[in-house]
Amino acid sequence: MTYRSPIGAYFTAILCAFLFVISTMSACDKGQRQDTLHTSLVAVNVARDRFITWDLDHQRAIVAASSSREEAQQKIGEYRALQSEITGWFVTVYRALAIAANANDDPSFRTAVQAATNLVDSVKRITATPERQ
Amino acid sequence: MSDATDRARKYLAIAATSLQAMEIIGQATRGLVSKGERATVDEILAVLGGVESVAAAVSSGLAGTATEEDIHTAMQQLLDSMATNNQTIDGEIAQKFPPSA
Repeated sequence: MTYRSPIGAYFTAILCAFLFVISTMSACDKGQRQDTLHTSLVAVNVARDRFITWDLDHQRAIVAASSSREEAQQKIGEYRALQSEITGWFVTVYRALAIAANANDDPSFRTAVQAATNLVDSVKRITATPERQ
Repeated sequence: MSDATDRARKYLAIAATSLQAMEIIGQATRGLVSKGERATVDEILAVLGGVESVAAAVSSGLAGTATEEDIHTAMQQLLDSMATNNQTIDGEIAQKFPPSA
C-alpha cells in the first residue's frame, strides 16, 4: 500500500481550482468579445437600414428638384459615386467584424469595434438631412 | 452636387483613415492583393499587432462560424437594397422624363 500525502492532494486541489478559474475567466472574455461584436453588428445593421431608407428619399429629392432628364441623370450619377463609397465603407466594416469574430486578438477586436462606431456615427450625421426631417 | 451630398462626403472623410487599413485587409481576404501589396498588408497587420491570429483569420478565408454567416447576410442585404433603390429611381426618372420619340 502506497502512502499519499494529504499535502500533495491539497496542492492538487488548489491547482485544479486555479485552472478552473483561469479557464472560466477565458471563456467569459470570449463571451464578452462575442457579445460586443454582436452589438456592433446590430448597430451597423441599424445604420444600414437607416441609410437604405435615406438613400431612396435622397435620390427622390434629387429627381424632384431636376427640371430635365439630363439634369436628373447627371445629379443622380454624381450622388451614386458617393453611394458607392458609403456601400464600400459598410462592406469594409462588415469584413472587419468578420475578421474580429474569427480571430482572438485585441487589435482586430478594437479596430473592428472602432470602425463600426465611426461608421454608425457618420451614417447618423449623413442621414440627418432635410430629406429625413 | 447637393448640400446633403457634400455633407455626406465630409463626414465620410472623417471615417476614412482607419477604414482604409481595414479595406486593404479586406482585399487580402479575397486574394485580391499582389505580392507587392502583400508587403503593405503585412505592414498593416504588424502595426495592428496580433499578426498571427489576424493572418490566420485572413488565410482561413474567415470560414465557418454562425457570426460570419450573419455578417455575410447583412452585407448582402445592403447590396441588394442599393440595387433595388437604384432600379426604382431609374424607373421614376424614366416616368417623370419620358424619352422623346
